[in-house]
Amino acid sequence: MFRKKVFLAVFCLSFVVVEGSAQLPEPTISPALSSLIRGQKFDVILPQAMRDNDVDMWIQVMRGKNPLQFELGYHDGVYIFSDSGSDRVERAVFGAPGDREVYDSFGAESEIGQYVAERNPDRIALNYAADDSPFNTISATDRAKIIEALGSKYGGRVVSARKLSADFLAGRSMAEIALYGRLLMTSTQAIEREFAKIVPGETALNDIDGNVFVRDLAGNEENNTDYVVQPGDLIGILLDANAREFSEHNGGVGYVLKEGETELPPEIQRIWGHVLKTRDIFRRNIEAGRTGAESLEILVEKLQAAGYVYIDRDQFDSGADPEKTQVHIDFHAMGRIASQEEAPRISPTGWGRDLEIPLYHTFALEYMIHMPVPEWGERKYLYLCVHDGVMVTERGIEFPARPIQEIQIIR
Amino acid sequence: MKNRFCFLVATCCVASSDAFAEEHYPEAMPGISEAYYTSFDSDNPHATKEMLDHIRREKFDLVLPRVMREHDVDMWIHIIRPWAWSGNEARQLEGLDLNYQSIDSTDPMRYEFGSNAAVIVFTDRGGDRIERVVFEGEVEDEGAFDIVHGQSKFINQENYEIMDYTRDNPEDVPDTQLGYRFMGLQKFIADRDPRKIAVNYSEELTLAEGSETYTLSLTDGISFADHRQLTRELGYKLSRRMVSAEHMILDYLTRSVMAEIVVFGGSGKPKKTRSFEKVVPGVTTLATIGGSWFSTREADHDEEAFFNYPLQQGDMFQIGMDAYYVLHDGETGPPPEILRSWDEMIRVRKILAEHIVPGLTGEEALKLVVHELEEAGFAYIDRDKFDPSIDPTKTQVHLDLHQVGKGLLAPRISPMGASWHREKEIPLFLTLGVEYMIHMPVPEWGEGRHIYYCTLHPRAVVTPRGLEFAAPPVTGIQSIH
Repeated sequence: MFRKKVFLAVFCLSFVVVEGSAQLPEPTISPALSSLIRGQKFDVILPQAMRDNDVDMWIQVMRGKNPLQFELGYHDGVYIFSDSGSDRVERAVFGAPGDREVYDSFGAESEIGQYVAERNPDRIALNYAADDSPFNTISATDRAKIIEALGSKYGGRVVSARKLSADFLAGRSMAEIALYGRLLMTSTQAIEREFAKIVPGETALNDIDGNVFVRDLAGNEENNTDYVVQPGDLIGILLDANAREFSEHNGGVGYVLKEGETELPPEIQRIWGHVLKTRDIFRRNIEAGRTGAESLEILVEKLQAAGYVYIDRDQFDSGADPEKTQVHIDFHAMGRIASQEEAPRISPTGWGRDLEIPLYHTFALEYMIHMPVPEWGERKYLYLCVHDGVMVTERGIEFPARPIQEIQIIR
Repeated sequence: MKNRFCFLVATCCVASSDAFAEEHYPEAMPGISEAYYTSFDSDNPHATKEMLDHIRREKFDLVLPRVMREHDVDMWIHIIRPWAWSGNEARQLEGLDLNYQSIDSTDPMRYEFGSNAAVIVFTDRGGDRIERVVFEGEVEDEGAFDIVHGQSKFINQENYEIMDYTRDNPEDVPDTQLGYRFMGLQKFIADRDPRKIAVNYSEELTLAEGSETYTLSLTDGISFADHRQLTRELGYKLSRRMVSAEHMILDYLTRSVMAEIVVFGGSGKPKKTRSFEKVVPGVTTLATIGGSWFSTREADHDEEAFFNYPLQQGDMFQIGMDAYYVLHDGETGPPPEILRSWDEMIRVRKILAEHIVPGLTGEEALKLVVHELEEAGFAYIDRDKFDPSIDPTKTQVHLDLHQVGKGLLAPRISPMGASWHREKEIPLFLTLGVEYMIHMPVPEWGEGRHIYYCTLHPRAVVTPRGLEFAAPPVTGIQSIH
């Protein structure tokens, strides 16, 4: 037995992966992870998305670049998903090779008509959209071909797959969530590095990576310009992290101490207090199952009950009560690049406002605080943008990685 | 036997890689992999102190109120005794410029609370939030608590302060020096007047026995001496309200927040492919290449006897979770029997993934899964040993799915272990090691000959949708030319 232990220890030592520094590695998606995510999406997201959309067949014609390539496959062809009512959605590819680990059958495009007729679907989603949408990917020629292949009986049952595609992409498997968390950690670390680079009086905003902005007390913004960082500035940095088709971005805030200051002045501490207070309001009042618009309505009510003024655009409202801090929110999806826009969104704008927030939805808790500082003069205010990656679970909002902890002090 | 062996593999991986990982990722938590986030990825660069601090706060916000209310507890006192840690772990990691100190404790909550010596009190005073107080002691992340009193100046009793104190306060000296940690606790608790006070002592659960960490059994809770001291300090009225926190501790440990799932998901890096250029069939032994066990077996296979047995063409074996097949001359891939065993392994995985959901106890899940396996044509075996009396057309399956990542094996979907492992309900987002073994008979190779594969611990999360893997499980059998 002892001998076995020694061998095992030697084996284990030989198997340790060596890395070079404490910096987080560039996020990657190994072929195994890619295959795992694809399989999980088919197993646990697709059946629900199809049922929620009352669709029992989904036909996705893929030619060239397509927002669903990661999930479905990179080969041109016709991908068909059929829900026969069991736990599993049948998956077939026509006119293309596909991942045999996740697809059940393969055929020629000429066989599509027969395949569909055998399954007799009531409602067939096809990848077109009536309005402008990244999911409107089928060409007129392909659409005509598919309709012809379906024949008059099934051609009349075709509907847009836009919402189904959005729901499918918005659903998250556990492997995606783990990846999302790693990406959030990466961008947080990168933001910290950017703040560390800043030398007041020397560093210009365009020397700093990311979306970098400073607003003066009247709301005039410098954004990635050659403006040189000055004492008293409240600087926001938004930075992204990417791994193939997956992406997120989050933010940090820094304050440049003025001469004689050793810590954040009271006004800056006060605006940070609003960050924490509003975060708590958001965290306690968002849950899965509501649409983005419904959620917004609830949040606005809660914000107002807590003494805030809600503003539907990211601009200080000079007509509002000068005693009250103003809050703008735009909780958009994050995780998959393609679904950043076409996804549930808790915001005054965007198509996704009417979509239901699914369980495990990953999104940005992006909110902007405009805090009047009357002692500095009329209509003078501090501005701060918070951008943290979150997700919604049965328990409410969770942070898969550490959210912004404080306003960084820049000396 | 097999199970112990699996643990040993895990333990060795940890012991060998922790210090190494620390050298390259100074931020990564030492010892974390021994009790946490499984044992196979201790170099995970995402397991940082900051992440652990974040996890702790998330659990305080999201899990703590729930478990306390479910157990109808309005105060939880958790005592991690000082003086009890050996220093072994600290000595191993000395000089590595660590930023995490709460090591070398066998308390199951050492990482959860970030301390290896403290008296921590949680009080449910209504509202969404539980009050968090470090009544005595030091913690890694003071910001996670509302009040931190710090370490009692009398913890180290080799000082003059204690001499001064006992001289000046003869009426307020505890009966024994053990009691200094609890001075003032009665008033603190009386001010909060809890109805039910959970304390970390065990009445039923053998937490130490149920520890996943083969070399680091977790404690069953406070000592008899500490229990007496606490009882004395609380007085008759309050001490009568004390109950064991053991079930609540288990519930707290096994409910993961999403940040834990991120760490549980590993580094995301592709696995390095092994090279077997030097394998010579008939000469190279399994031991030489660090193999774990042979997969191509006789009915009465004795793995010990095979340890120095040379690998032959046509052998399948495992190194950890990975499976390898030594090709015969002329073969370009594993033969149909070997591939069929892999398909059987995947079929079992799918059945498990579809049927294990939160809310079932381990036992209920076991019964359900066994039923589904048998419906699918498998034969369930309650020990990891090929049964030659079973229909040779059926693949035999043994199950030992258990919690991984928190140092304990429960909840457990297995015929093995203490009964409470199985009686525990599977919580939402349980981190589960999907450990099962298949024994697929190959009658055409001879009576009793079979192919064995043990999955070890692929990392799954239990969701209402079933099992979802947070990191990729092994994807196939690799061929050795």
